[in-house]
Amino acid sequence: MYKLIWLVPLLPLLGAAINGLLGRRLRFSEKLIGGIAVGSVALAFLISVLAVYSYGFGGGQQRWPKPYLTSEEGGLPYSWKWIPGGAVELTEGNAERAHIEGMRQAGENAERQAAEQHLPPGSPVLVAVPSVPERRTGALLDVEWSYQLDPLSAIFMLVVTGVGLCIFVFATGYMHGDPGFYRFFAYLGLFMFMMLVLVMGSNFLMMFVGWEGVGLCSYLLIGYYFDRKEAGDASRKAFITNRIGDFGFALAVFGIIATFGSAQYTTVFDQARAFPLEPIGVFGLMSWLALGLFIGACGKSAQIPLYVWLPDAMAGPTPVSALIHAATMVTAGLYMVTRTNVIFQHSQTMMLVVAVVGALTAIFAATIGITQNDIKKVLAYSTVSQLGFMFLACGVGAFAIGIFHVVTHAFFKALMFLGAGSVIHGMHHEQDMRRMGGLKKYMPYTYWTFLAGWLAICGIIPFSGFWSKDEILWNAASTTIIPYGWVLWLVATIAATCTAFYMTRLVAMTFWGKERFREKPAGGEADEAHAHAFAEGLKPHDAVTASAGDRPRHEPGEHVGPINEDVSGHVADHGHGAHAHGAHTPHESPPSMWVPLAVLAVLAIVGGFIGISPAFTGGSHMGGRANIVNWLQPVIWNPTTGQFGSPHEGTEGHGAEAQGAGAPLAASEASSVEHRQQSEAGGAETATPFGNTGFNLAQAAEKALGSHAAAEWLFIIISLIVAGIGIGLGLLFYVKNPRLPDVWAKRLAPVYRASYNKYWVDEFFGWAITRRVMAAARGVYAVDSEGIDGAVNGTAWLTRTASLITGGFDKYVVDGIVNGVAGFVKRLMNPILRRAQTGFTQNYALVMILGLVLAVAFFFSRDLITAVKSMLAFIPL
Amino acid sequence: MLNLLFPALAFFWQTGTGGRMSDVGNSVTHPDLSKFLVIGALLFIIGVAGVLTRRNIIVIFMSIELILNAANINFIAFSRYLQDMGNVNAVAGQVFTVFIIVVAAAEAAIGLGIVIALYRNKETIWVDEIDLLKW
Amino acid sequence: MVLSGWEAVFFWVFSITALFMALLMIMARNAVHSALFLISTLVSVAALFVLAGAEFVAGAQVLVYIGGVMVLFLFVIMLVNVGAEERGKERLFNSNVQVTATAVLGLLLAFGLVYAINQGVKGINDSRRGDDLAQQRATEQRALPTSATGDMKITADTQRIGNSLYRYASLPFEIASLLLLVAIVGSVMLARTLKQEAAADDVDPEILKEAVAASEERAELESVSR
Repeated sequence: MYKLIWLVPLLPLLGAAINGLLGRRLRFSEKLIGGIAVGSVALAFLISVLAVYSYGFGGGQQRWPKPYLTSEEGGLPYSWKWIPGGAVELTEGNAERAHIEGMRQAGENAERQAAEQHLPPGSPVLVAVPSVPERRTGALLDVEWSYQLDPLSAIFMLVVTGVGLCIFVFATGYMHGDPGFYRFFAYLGLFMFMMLVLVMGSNFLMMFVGWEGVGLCSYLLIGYYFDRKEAGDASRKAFITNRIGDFGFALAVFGIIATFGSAQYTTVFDQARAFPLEPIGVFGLMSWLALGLFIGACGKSAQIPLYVWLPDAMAGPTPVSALIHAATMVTAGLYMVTRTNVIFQHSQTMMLVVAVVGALTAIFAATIGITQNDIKKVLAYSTVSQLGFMFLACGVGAFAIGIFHVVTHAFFKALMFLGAGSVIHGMHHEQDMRRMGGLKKYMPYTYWTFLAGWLAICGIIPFSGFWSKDEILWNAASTTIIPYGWVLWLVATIAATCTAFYMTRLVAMTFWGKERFREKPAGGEADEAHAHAFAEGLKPHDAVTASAGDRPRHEPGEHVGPINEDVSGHVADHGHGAHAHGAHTPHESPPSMWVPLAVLAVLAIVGGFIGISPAFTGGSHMGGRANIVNWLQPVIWNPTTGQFGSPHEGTEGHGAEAQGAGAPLAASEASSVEHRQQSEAGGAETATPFGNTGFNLAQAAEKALGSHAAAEWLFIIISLIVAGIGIGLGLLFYVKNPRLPDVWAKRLAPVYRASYNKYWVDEFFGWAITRRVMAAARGVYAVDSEGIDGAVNGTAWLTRTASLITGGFDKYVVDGIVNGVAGFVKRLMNPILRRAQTGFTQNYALVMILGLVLAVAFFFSRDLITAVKSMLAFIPL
Repeated sequence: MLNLLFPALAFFWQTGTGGRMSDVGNSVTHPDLSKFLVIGALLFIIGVAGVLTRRNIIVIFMSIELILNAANINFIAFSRYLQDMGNVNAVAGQVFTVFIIVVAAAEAAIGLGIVIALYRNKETIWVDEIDLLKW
Repeated sequence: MVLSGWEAVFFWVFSITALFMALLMIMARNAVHSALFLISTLVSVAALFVLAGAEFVAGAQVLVYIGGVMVLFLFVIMLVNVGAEERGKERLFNSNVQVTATAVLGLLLAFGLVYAINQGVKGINDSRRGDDLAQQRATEQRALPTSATGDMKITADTQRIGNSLYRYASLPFEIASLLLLVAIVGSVMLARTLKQEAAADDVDPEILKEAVAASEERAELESVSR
């Protein structure tokens, strides 16, 4: 069944192509477009489920833990040769060097032999010449387009298609009535395809294709409402920031290809095992590769400093925010880091960097999210913060936990985004939470499902978020791979508190309490600002309000929204005076929107059970392959043993390979042997591949409490307590005593202002980078338009002037000479020749007779002369 | 002066053998072809003088007839000479003369027609008043 | 071809007459006198033709040339009679330059032609037989048939010309007759008055008007001058 996985990316692509190319031309109805899109994704999801099941659990056919590559089937449609071997030659030059060296040596041999045989120099000698060296297949870049089904890609396939299916269904309801319905689903389907190529690709180049592709689709979808300036700005910002990350990623991919001679995961990771470990202080090849990869991850997964695009990306429609910026695209960085965990785990420095950046991002974004008023912005900063948690998990070595958090986060964040979308839809596109409140009465489905997501993200047992977040905190505290694990644990715990606080705030402001939308008419204030600005002659896009964001298109001067249904005097006094009548009551969303919410809510509640902590099950991850940590073991590399997979299960399954190639190099062999011994003695969790990493909080707790399980329970209880503190504070501030937020905002005014203005990061970037780059671009443009174009135009001007000069020369000088000569002759000859034209015929006849005389004279000239002479002789002298 | 005259005469009155006076006398009493031709030439020259000199257009025409007649004399003289030289049927000259007379008649008719038309338009027969070709 | 005896005498008489009359012709004041002088010249030339043995041509000359052409000339002279010449008002000759040049050139030409002719004939005679030609001619003359009256011989000249004209020269003969036709038609057409032309043919109305005006002016002038 898993042989069909090649269909999984293809079906959404087909759906997107049909919708995009034919949707408008053949005037598909919304039902048809939605049907095609949802149908293609549903089919892809079905195939994914069946494939993963047969791969992992399918009786005799199962392939777990080895990866399945579609190129095993050979040929289309399973796989095809994308860049055939020999098309690109790696320029390491070793082969050529060997050949040249061989030739030189052959020449020396020839001379030596000639000297031995006492031949005169220069005479031919028979000598062996090395033949043209055979190219090692590893030295030619040979890339195929084939899909790989292994534990990691299986999880991502399911998450992408499954959560994607829910979001597609939601979007058919949310985007109802939008004129670009077909375009939206075409872009969405294209995004699906690109994301699946990213996660299912079998080599780095396919991942790169998917990487760029999802970046493109993000641009297209954020800027979906292309008539609005903020959408265009946000989409460009996203794309450019992504590009910065992609640069690092591309360099890393080039380095990988140059180092390992191939782009296929299997080849690369096999070879990478043997490279030496690089503890802190050694920044070698692996560290550089990991650095490039991590820069890419920062760009795609919105870590510091490349996170700035994610909050602005909320200008796109809410399904886009849910799919791309919560569940799938931003997790591509996680996928990549986990996929290349071999490389990362070789470099202690980079692991530390990843963990620190993750933790910092977590708390940074959480503190910003506390003060935001736009419901989607809060969720955006929440996403950034949770991504920080995931990277923290990866940084401390718990890659499987990081992926676990990806899965649970996909569930509850998509749920909350869709819930927010439902709220926005019900509130007639009002996004400011200050105008919401008490919606639980009007939107029950949305409310109850949102509640599930809220509890999940706060980390309340037994919801899904608890399991993953708790494991992250435990692993941060107990890591032996990097130092300062306890600091990271502390920061992450504070971030978790903030998370609980602002999520409670969001729920309180939106669903509980006073119905503030009755005082200020809800819906369309930003639209009204647009229309007002237009009426005053300003550009409508200049009238950007703080809650500008996700709403459908309208004409610049059009007064839309329920705000306009009030009495006309409203225009003069914005928002003053309560018009009790005419304020629209929010309404529940149609089933196409709340059914996906229900599905995701169920997943958010029970989804965590795939990764139950070992604390509950006595020391190991229960459930065999069904437990996500066990499921992912074949993909995670263990630096202690130098093999993939945990020592327990991996070595049993790969007994032969353990002794085969890939043993660590001599430099760390001794230490790893030592550590292996240590690990065998003290259990797998105390293995320290990089040596002593300082104070370990978990070990301290263990020592204090006496047993490993007790330490784990301690941390569980601590995380539950901090979640409770956060929720409690939130309830206090926003339910019990609604005046408290203002009081504290005034007391901590500078802190509040900093948080509200997002720490002025965007302004800093603008000043430091954007303005300078724009100035440089303007300078280059000036050089081109004035310098280069000026040179081109100048030569044209020169040519024209030269032609003017030569033309003038010809016209005046040359013709003047000719005319002058003619005139001179005319003036000379005129009186002379005119006299000949007497008009008197007899004159002409006289001339004729003269001619006759001359003819006669010529004819007899000699005789005449003789005769005259003889006559003259007679004259007596 | 007479010294000059004799040589001049001798120059012009050249005979077949030598330049003696007896030959000159002989040529006078026995005029032959050359005398005919000389007469023709002199008439021609007189005619040419008339064409070039006179102002009256009719007189010019008559001088042209004189020229044609001089040509006729030439033809007849040679016709006779050739007959005497052996070819009895050498009448080509005379035939040609007939044609010349025909042509002269036609030409005279046309020319005088032109003169009449010209006279009607210009009221003059003096050629120096008919200088329309003057530049 | 040597003339001797009375033939020589008549030759000299007629040739001198011809030359003299020609000179008088070109110097006569009256156009009619010029015509009459020309007639005399032509008669002398006809006599010269007879002396040269071309009797038919002499007859043609007298009949056609003198009888036809000169009569035509006299008619035209009458038509365009301008008495001013007679009264001596108008000049006879052209400008002095022209006359001088003509005289000079004429003399030169005369000298040159005479000399050239003599040279040429001498050259011919040198390459030919001598006096027995005269004997031959005399023999031939005696062989000619006698006329009806018995006092002259009938020459074969006309017969020979006829032979030639109607056999070898018949095409030029026909063409010559065509030429005469053209001359007749042409002269008739040329000498038509405007009224005659307007009656027989299409005349441009403007030209008709101009000509009528001009002729009226002329009529006025004539009446005034008279």
